Amino acid sequence: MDSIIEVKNFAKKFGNKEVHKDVNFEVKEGQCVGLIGGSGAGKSVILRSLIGLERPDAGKVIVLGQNLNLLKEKELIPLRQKVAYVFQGGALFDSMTVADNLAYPLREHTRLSEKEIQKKVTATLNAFDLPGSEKIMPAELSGGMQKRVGLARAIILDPEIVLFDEPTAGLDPYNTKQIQSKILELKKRGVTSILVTHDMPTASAVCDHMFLLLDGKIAAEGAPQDLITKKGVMSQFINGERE
Amino acid sequence: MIQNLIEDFGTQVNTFIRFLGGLFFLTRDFCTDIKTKPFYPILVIEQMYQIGIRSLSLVCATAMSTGMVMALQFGFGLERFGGKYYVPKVVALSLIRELGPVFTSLMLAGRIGAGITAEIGSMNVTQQIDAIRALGTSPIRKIVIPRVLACLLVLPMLTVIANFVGIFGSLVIGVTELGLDPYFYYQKVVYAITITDFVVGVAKTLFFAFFISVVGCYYGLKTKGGTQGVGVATTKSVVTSSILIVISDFFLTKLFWMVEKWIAS
Repeated sequence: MDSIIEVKNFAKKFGNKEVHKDVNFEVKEGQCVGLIGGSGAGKSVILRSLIGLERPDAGKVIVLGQNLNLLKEKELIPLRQKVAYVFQGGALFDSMTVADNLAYPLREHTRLSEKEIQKKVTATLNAFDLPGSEKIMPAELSGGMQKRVGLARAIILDPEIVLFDEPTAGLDPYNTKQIQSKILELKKRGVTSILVTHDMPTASAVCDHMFLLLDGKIAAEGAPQDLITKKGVMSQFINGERE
Repeated sequence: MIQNLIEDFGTQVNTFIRFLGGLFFLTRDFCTDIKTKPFYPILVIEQMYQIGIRSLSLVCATAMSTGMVMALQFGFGLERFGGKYYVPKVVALSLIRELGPVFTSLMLAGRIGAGITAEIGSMNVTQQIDAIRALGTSPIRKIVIPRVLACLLVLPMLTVIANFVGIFGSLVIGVTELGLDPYFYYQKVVYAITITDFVVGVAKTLFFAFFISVVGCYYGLKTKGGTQGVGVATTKSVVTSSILIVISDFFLTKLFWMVEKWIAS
């Protein structure tokens, strides 16, 4: 399998704080990868860099064969139709209804008629166990529902890569399971995913491979079960023996 | 002590240069993106409604009271020198050339500038601006262009309305408090104002509208630090655009007088 995402010698500073020193990893097509690490380790910054929302100070970020460092904001637009980003809080547009939130990417990037868009929106909402919520405003939804709508909006254009930022943080077991099943569904369809998470049960349930980000570098990597059972930094991190 | 002062000064200069640079780049992006597709006319109309119709009562109330106060002040002031009959001319000229455009713009800087910054700032801290980008669309096209265009279109219209309302307010006071004949007042106003006065006043508002909207968008897009950050950005936006309006008014007045003189010669 070819690498669909490559991060090489990634370095990033915020003020005087050097968050990433030399991050290197690759993700193969169809893989579901977990990126874990302590709070403030810079996991989300790496995830944001994979869609061009952040730029590294040094190093390369190559996604679908394109070096994102060389692309201008306008040149990133076609790539962002193939790479979806699921925000931690959903990031739904609060001035729009749920239906309009879902219809947003379809109206912007497809030539579907309004009738076809509404049909697709309704079907997607049903698939996410949110039937009849078309006219509801995001503020009226629970946190779990907002995350599901955020995920639905992100994948409505059938992207090749989905980036999840803490997809199950703060969710009850029902909503966690719903999100897990959606990630597994995407995996079955051959979609490449990267999860930034602290939720180890979810990571081990859905991920093929995991990376531990520690002190600005990838400190450990491997299959979830191997990393959890083997003694080392990963098991120390999971058992709360180190930050 | 001195070192602190120097450091503070350096920080202020740095912030100011960053602000100017930010405004320049935002203006550049606005000018570049407005020429190309996609363009969202519906969003412009929505913003025109938000900015125009919803500000109408505020603008009218301000203009009416300004006109009335000016008529009273000039009326009682000039009466001592027998100059009461100059009130229509003085008030109309002041309103049309200066006070109408400036007061309307200051009111809009408070209402619209704050609104733009608070709305965009809230979107920013809740990652909605990032979501616009992540979904393959441009915040400049979706957020900045509609607001700037709407401001540019609506502020001159509101100023024209404010001018008429202000003059009407002064006429009411002229008739009821100063004992002037309404037809005399109307005739003096029409005689005093030229098309140039009117155009100069309205032309200034194009600059003011640009300051209000671009500064509002800039601070909104730069908002950091949650809800507190939104509050700080909103205050900065209103203060900055108000200062820009007041300071630029002097230079624009000077510029327009020079242009008028040059045309007349």
